Order: sequence, then structure tokens, then C-alpha cells
Amino acid sequence: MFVEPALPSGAVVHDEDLILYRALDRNEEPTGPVTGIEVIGFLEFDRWDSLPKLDLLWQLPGQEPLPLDELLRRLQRELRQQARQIASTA
Amino acid sequence: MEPEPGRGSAEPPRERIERLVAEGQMPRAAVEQVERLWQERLRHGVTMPNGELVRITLDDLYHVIVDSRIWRHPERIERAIAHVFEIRRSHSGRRQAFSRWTKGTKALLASIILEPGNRLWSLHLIDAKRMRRYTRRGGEIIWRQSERP
Repeated sequence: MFVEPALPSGAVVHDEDLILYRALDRNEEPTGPVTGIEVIGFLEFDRWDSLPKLDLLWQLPGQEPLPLDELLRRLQRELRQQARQIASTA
Repeated sequence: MEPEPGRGSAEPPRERIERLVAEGQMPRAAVEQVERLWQERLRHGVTMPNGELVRITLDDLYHVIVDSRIWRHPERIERAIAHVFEIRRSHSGRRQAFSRWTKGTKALLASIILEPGNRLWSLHLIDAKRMRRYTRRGGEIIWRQSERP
């Protein structure tokens, strides 16, 4: 999930499953504002306490701004439901 | 200052790359260069020093170049895989590999996540501090390159 508009970004590996992206500085180091987050194995992810503590809200198009963990939990529920539907029609 | 609030999107990497190109936020020539490199050097896989072949699909490639430091230097994908020195067990059958190589006088370090079946999931440059943190508390070591005498 990435912040728009996109900025040149580099990864900051938070832990094995969590990748935070920050804007690159002139030395190509990811020291700038947070630009995105990636959760490896998102459908099974449950370590919500491990999410980086970020002092910003996130907003998906057409939805209200939410803290990161709330938004990701909501997104995970939607994606799990989609996955179940796909599995049931397969 | 952090964007407040961040306006996010959750979209597949290929669609994101196509959108960034269409919006002029990523040079089409850079994406074409990465795709050319994939055709010529990556599509049949890249071998790690332990002899295992890492498979890279075009979708994997689009995922990896989300990091600007990779699409600006796509040769780093092959370099990182070819210079893996340690592999650790991670969650859900995945493995995490660590890599180190030099470009001129600059030492580069990378963390690579491999899916079961040796597909490349992610490849990120990391700093020495992060590498030490990983190696202190990381998962079980399942392969490590022997030190040269």
C-alpha cells in the first residue's frame, strides 16, 4: 500500500514480514517521509502489535482516513472474503 | 513532514508500475530497460552460491522494482542473488537470504525473501545496522557460505 502521489522510495525492512518504504534522500537513502508499507503473507498476518507506530492516517480511495492497523485489518477482511468467494467458485 | 493523512492505494505491482508510467512518475525507458534485463538475464532464474536456482517471473520483477533503488539499478537483482552468503528459515515456508557485494568502493547489503519453490518474493537493500539486527535475532540458519581462507 503506497502513499500517493508516489515519491522515489526505498525499503526499510521493519522485520521479516513488514517492509516500510520511505522517500529517498539525495544519497539514495530512505530517510524521508513514509511512502508505503508492505506486509508479506498479508492474508495470514496477525501480528498487529508489530506494525510500525506511525503518526499518520491512511486513506483508501472512497474511504475515511484510518490509523494503519485499522485500515489494514479492514482490507484484510475484504481480501479474505474475496479469497473465500474465489475458492468457493473454483 | 509526513503526509497527513496519507492517501493510499492497494494495487498489484504490475498495475502500479503501469499507472506510474502513465502518470509520468516513472520513466517508461527505465521499465523497458528492466524488462529487457529480465528477458536477457533473469527469466531463466539466477543461481545462488549454494547452487539453488531462484526463479523470477515478470510479476515478481514488477514487485521488486517497487523500490526505486532497484529500478534505477536493475543489475542489483542478479548481483544480490548471486552474492547470497546466508539463508535463514522464515514464516510460512518462506526463507530469508542475506547478500553482500561491492560496487566500486561501495558495499551493498540486501535482504531477499524467497517463497516456497524458490520464487523471488522481495529484494531490498538494507544497511549494516539492520543486517546485524537480523543476524542477532533471525530464524534458524539453513545455509551459510564458508569463509574463504
